[in-house]
Amino acid sequence: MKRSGTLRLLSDLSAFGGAARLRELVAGDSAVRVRGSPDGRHLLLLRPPGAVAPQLLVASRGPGAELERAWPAGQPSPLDAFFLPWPARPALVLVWESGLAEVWGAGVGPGWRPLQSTELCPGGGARVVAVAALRGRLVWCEERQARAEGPSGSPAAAFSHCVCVRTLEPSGEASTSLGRTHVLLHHCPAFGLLASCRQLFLVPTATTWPGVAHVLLIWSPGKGKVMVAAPRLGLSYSKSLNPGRGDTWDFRTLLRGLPGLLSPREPLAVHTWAPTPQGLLLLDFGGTVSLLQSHGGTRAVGTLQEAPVGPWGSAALGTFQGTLACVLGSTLELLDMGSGQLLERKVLSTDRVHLLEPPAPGMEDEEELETRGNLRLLSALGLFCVGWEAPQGVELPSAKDLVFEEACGYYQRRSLRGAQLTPEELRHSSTFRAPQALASILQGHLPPSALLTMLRTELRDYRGLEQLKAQLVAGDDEEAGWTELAEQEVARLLRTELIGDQLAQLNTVFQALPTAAWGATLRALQLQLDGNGKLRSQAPPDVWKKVLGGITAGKEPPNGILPPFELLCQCLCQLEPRWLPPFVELAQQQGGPGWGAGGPGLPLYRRALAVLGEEGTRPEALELELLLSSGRPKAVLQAVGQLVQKEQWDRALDAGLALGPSSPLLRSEIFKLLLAEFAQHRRLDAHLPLLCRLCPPELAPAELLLLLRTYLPDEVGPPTPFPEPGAEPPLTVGLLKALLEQTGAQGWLSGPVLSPYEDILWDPSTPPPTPPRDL
Amino acid sequence: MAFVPVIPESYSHVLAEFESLDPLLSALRLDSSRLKCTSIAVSRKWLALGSSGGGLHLIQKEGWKHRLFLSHREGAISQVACCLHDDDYVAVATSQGLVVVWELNQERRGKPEQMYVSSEHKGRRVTALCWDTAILRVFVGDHAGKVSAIKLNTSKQAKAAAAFVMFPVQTITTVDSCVVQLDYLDGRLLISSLTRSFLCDTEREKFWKIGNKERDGEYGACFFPGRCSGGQQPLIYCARPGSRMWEVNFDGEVISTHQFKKLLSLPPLPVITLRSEPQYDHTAGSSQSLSFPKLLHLSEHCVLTWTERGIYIFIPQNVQVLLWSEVKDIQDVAVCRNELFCLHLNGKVSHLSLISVERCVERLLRRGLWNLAARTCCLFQNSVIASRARKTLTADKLEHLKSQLDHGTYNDLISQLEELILKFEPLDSACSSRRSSISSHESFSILDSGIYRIISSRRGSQSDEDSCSLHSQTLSEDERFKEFTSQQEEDLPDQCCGSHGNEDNVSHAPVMFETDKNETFLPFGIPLPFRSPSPLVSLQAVKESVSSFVRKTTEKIGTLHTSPDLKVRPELRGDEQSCEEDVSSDTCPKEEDTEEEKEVTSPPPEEDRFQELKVATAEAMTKLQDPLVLFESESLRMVLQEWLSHLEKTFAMKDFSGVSDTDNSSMKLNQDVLLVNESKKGILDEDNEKEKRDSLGNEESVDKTACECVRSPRESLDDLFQICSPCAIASGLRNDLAELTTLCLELNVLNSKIKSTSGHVDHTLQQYSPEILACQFLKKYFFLLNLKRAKESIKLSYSNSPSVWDTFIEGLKEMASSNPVYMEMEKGDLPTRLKLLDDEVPFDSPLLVVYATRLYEKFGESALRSLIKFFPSILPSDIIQLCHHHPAEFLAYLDSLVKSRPEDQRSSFLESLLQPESLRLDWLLLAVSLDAPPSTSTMDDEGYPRPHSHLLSWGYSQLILHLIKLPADFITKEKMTDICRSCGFWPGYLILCLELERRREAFTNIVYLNDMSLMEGDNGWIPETVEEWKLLLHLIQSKSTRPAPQESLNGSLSDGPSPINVENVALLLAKAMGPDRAWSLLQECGLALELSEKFTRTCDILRIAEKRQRALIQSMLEKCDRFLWSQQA
Repeated sequence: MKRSGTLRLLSDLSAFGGAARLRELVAGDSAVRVRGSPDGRHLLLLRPPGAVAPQLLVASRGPGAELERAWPAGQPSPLDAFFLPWPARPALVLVWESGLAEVWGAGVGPGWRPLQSTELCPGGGARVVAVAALRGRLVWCEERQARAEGPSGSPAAAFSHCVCVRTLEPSGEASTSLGRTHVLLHHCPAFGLLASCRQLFLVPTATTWPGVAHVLLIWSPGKGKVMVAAPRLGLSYSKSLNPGRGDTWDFRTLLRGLPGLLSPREPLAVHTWAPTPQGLLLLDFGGTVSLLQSHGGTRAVGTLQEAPVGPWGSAALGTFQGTLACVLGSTLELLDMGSGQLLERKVLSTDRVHLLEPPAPGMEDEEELETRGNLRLLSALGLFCVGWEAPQGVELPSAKDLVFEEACGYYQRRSLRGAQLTPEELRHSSTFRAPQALASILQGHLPPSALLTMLRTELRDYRGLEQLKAQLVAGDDEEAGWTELAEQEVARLLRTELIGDQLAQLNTVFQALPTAAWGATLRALQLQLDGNGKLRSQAPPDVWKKVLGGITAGKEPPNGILPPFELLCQCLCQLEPRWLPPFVELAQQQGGPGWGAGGPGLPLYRRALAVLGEEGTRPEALELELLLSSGRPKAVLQAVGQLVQKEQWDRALDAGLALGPSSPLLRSEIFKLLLAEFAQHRRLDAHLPLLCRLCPPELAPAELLLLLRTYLPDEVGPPTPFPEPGAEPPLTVGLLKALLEQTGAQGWLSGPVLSPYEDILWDPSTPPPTPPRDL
Repeated sequence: MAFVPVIPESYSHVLAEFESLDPLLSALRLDSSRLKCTSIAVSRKWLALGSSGGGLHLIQKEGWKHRLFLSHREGAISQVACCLHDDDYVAVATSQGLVVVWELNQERRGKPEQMYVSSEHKGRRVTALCWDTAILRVFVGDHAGKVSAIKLNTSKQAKAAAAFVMFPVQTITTVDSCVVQLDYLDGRLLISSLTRSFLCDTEREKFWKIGNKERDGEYGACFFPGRCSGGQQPLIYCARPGSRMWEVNFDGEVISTHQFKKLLSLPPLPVITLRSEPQYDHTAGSSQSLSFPKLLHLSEHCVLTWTERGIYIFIPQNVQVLLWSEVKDIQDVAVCRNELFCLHLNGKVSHLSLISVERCVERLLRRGLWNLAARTCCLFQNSVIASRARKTLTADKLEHLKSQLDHGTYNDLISQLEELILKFEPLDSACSSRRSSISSHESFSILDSGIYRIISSRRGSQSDEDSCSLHSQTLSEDERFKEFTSQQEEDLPDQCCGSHGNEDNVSHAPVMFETDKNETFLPFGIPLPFRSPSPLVSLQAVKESVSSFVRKTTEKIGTLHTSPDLKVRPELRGDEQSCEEDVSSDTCPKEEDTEEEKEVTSPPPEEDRFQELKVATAEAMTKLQDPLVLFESESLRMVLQEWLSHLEKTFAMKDFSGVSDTDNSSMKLNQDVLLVNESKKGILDEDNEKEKRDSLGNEESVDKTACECVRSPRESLDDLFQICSPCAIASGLRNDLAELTTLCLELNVLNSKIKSTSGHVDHTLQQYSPEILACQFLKKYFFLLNLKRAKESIKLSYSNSPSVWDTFIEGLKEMASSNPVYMEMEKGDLPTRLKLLDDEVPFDSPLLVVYATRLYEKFGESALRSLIKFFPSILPSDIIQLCHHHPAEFLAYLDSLVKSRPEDQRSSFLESLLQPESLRLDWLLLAVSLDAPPSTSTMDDEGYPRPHSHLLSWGYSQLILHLIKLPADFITKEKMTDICRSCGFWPGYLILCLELERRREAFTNIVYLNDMSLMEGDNGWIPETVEEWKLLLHLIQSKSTRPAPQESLNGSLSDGPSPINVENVALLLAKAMGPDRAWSLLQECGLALELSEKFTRTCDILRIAEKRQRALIQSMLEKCDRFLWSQQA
């Protein structure tokens, strides 16, 4: 993705004590040495010896005193100064050419004060030419003049240098301990010293004897090894050098023992060296940057658009996030370390620019966390952070966006504020830290383990979904995956309030994956089939409440979105229509007051019927079933009426008989309905016994006869002894007898007072006469 | 320099480390991470080192010669024990719990034999091994507490029966917990477990528990033999918690408890070592409550033990701490007389001596370690003043010492020494000294010659140490002279090779030595620089040198032949050592150098044929000391040129008559050696490789010189290799010659006639090309070359002249040809030969490359692939030279080499091999052109990729991918892109395109390749912006308007990967940006109509999934929030 390099102002230096002097020094002299303290709070500026007015300034951000020292011209001034990486309080060490080393500390009392001073080269006569601080060690290169009378720079003095090391560690509250001096190298030429976090680089300088100016050394104290490298020749050799074990090397012996280093060669022409964690960067006069790696190999990183103009101009190199940053004069070039590609070139408004190493991890301020790993750039205008930012707008939605979008909703719900939260606001606000944290977790950063434990299941599910999406897109027909998705989603939705979005989502799920969705519902409602072929549910009432909840007035869902009950019915209707009636029946049973069956809205069977379509277009059988199983008198009557119309006498009678004794009224209504039919035609005659059973017990024979009379067809003509051929035979008394007996018998049986002759009168041995058969 | 603190107490003894065993370990290759030392044992003769690889190295302590290598296949060596009463036996326990007893057969010069293998403790960890003191019996203890004994037949008595009659393993006892230590004395076995110590009478099979109180942890116990004369019963000391020790009598009854806690509060005594200056910290520590994991009887009166912090030596009978010193991380200590061999946890071994302070100073003086000697004197001045032996360390010695110190640097030290000298009381009063009870028992006399003779007052005294060995007073004066001179030879390496071992002396010191090796009379003499040698000695030296020539040359050859027995004296080889791995520990090499050189220039003239060369060499070496010469290639070449003329003169002048004298004898000797070598088959000689080469060279010389001496030298120079030296050259000179010759080769100074005054070679004068010259040079001076360095130099300086390399290899072949291993290497299949190479040839041998060459010549590529196991002894640059005719085969090697590394290290490993950087492109070109599919199947006529052609297999695809993924500069990356494109290596091409932000190109090609899987998965290349999606969709659209792509390579498309079409890409898009935005984008591109039902359905499910993810995010947000709040609270 196209990134854009940004320079973000971290501080305009006014946050630093002594800001004015700081600006002045930065702007004034490009040769000034700048170093940042490990915690990023302090800046050290030192004009090198030989400058007009050597000066030292230590400025600190926030509370904390600055240190400002000046040495009059003519007096020796410090050669170099370093911050010491001590956790407790800031400290720095100043080293003079004479070998004097002073440790200064701040923090205990007011301001900076000297803690200790030591002579690095006691005995005098030696001159420190370079010094570096490397992880609890002070390394310096001293010129020893014991033998050579000649001035420095003469051939005889060229190899009269030594490289020495002493450990430098904090001891106690306010002091430091310097270990013994170990000579790493003797009889060596003048070396420049550069330290990265783990390695010390000994590089040739302008005064190095040309015959050895193609060689540089890398000392890794941790490994106890020194690497001798000739980058131009592609040679590197590793030798042991562990001062703890008393190792020391004579430079001549060292080089003489290594093949290839004595053959003719040309000196390294390096404009600027820069130690980085990856190795040593070399900028040559052609503008090519090379990297000398810790294994001794050298590779070209890339070529700058501009080459340094002569040895004068200043250059600064640094790396961050796989990028090489190079400030040459007033241009900043950013190159990709992997491919050497020029990523960006910026022209700065000043050429007095210094690159600072990023603060040590773990020591940076809260506010610098987001600039972690980025380079810092100091100019008189302020302290900037060089980093990459993804350009706005063109970015595609990512997990991060989802998080912030969701976070909006999340916090909005909890917010008392009227104003709408936006993702942008959340992104840059520090009030809400959870979205930031979560976004970084989803992008692969590891959260604290306690949090990880809390989020484990969700994270696993989230990643599972990502995979699922990928599979889906890849055309993988793995149904199990989708089923699981649908089931989980339905289960989740059923736990929510099922309104708005949630309802829409439920609809989507049911449309896309009906089977799985129904399966999940089945589980959520804990539906079971009992022995009688009826459905039973053990789900808690509130689940049913959600499922059966209708549409509250004024909150009708948008078009096409069905309430849950309708949705279920529709789904069931599609998948397995025969289960719909028992389901509706069960639903009616589950309904409680205020909702479902007991509610003011439409009864459930009506809602279910509505799903089936407009009246007349519905599948009749299903409609009948629904009506019959609804248990509602009207519905049952409607169903029986329909059955009668269709002359399904059996079912009509069954429907009547199926009604329990709890609904005698409905039963008698059905009886009346059927009796009317019985009166009018003979097609029911075969079902007379059932009709008899349906006959309400309290019905007196007289009432029956009265009823019959109302339904009997009007006498059109005089009764004929024989029916006309083709015409229906009329109702006969023989047929009626059974009914009448039924009313009577029932009257007797159920009557409160039994006649003493009852058993004589009622002779069960004589069956009723068989009705005449149709011809 | 800081003032040296003075140790207030008068310590009589000190621990000193006079030599480092690091070179020995590195010669045994026990310093690698692969292999390290895991166990240690010592006897009078041997130092036994067991390794993690199951090998047991037996090193003859005398001269640190590696004598035997016994290998075991049953895991690392966990314990070793040398039989103390018979040096010919050693017992070993492996990590699998097997115990093997070896008979070394040294006296009969036979092969070592396994006498007994006991699997009694198999599967357990053997924690202690201990030999009987009288018979051949080994006691074994394991971590479960079982103790067994293996009794062996002495094969000397019943050799034949040994194989059949074996005593069974006898289980002695099983104690309650892990056996910590075993010790044996006079029929009693002392067993220390984690809880207590047990005493066991092995004859009567009686057991005693020692003491009532139990303890918990590793505490040791040892016997403390009684004084032989006093008839005193032996004692037992058992370690107890809290720095306590029980003193127990021989019947197991606790007599008393000694408490050392308070006594140990004194600051530790520095160890005198060449590695660093002694440090003493006055601040007394608190009392130390320690537990001692093992107790060892040491030096008659002492008991030694250690903790992770230091070594502690007690005189338990006096309840006295002799000393304690900080020596960290000790795993085990082996003790022999006053010598300590400490095995450290990291596998290093250090050799310390318990030595009296004055003896220590004495030895430092003898070695000229002035600074250290002075420091030690000052540090221990109380001891020195109190010392009765001030006759040894006289005031004038101290004066001399003072005079040796450099006034500039050691001012403080000198003044301290002066004070010390002032404090010296008159000698008489010194006799009544306050020395501790175990002062050494020597007296001494001063001979006329100025030799201080130290005489043991008592036979069997064990308080002395190696080179200060005792001289019997029965030696005649004459013999003393002989010894003196031979010693002198030894000390002055340039006069002779300095390799006279003991055996040499035996030959011309016809005194009957006592057979007890303990009492071996080593030549002893102090090269006293502070006394001029007496006239007698000088005379003797002259006489010696006059008569020595013939003897010397023959002897030299003889000595060289018997090189396995040569004595290596690291301290005399400062120069060479510093060329090797470690820095020489000499504090003032400069002075030594010049001293040696003086010696070089002043031997009696008539004996040395190389007089002129010697002078020239010394001169050249001196010049090389000057950095202005060394680092100025013109002047360096001049010096070499000048020197080369002398060399040419010397060896051109040489008639071989002188050598022929020696031929017979050398022949004889040589045959002996061969016999010896054969009889010692399987014994690895890991001596200094130079000497090995010498010996090889001389073996060669048997046939070589025999025929060469009839040739004219010129002829031989042209056609034949001068493999061996035509005559003996002293080793010091030899080293210098080797260095200079090799430098000549490296710097192309091949002919003294070429005067390179103006810096370039005048070719008109010389018909020969430098290549031919180099070959001639190699042939002429092969015997002088430092072979390893020469190999490197040839690769660097003659990289374009394969003939130079070939010539060099020819030379090595000739050199190796007489080696039995070389002969053996001509037989068998590749694995056999590799095994042989692995076992028989040290990896650092310069001949290794010859064996590799032979394998390659015979087996070709498969041999190369198997050579990876010799990395880094054989480097890729060697292989390049090896197969310069068939670069393809190099690639096979490289591929295997890279694959031999763990997956995650391959890239960085490959990168480290890629020097110079230009190799990247060379190797890439090679890799894409080998074992590659035909270009017609990778691209169509227009150069576009054929569908699915990225799935074709490439022989070196992994290597190619590694190469192109390495970071490089832009130009290189672009070139790589072109290479991949032009040969149709599409996977690499795509990677590079995307890395170089050539995304349009990449997507175009992906569409051509027509494989959706390229865009799927974690490593898929997916468009990152809306613009890129549009681009991709347009590319697909335009593709579909073109004529249908040809059938895929693997037959029908349906079997292959899913094709790139609108639908598939639309799905991907829907996943990337959500179904709704995808839909609108597709509509924008006019593609919406082409989409199927499936797309809609998929979108639906995607929507569900996304919603679900959002729901998960919600719940995670909630948890995060809660968590963060709880953190704040």
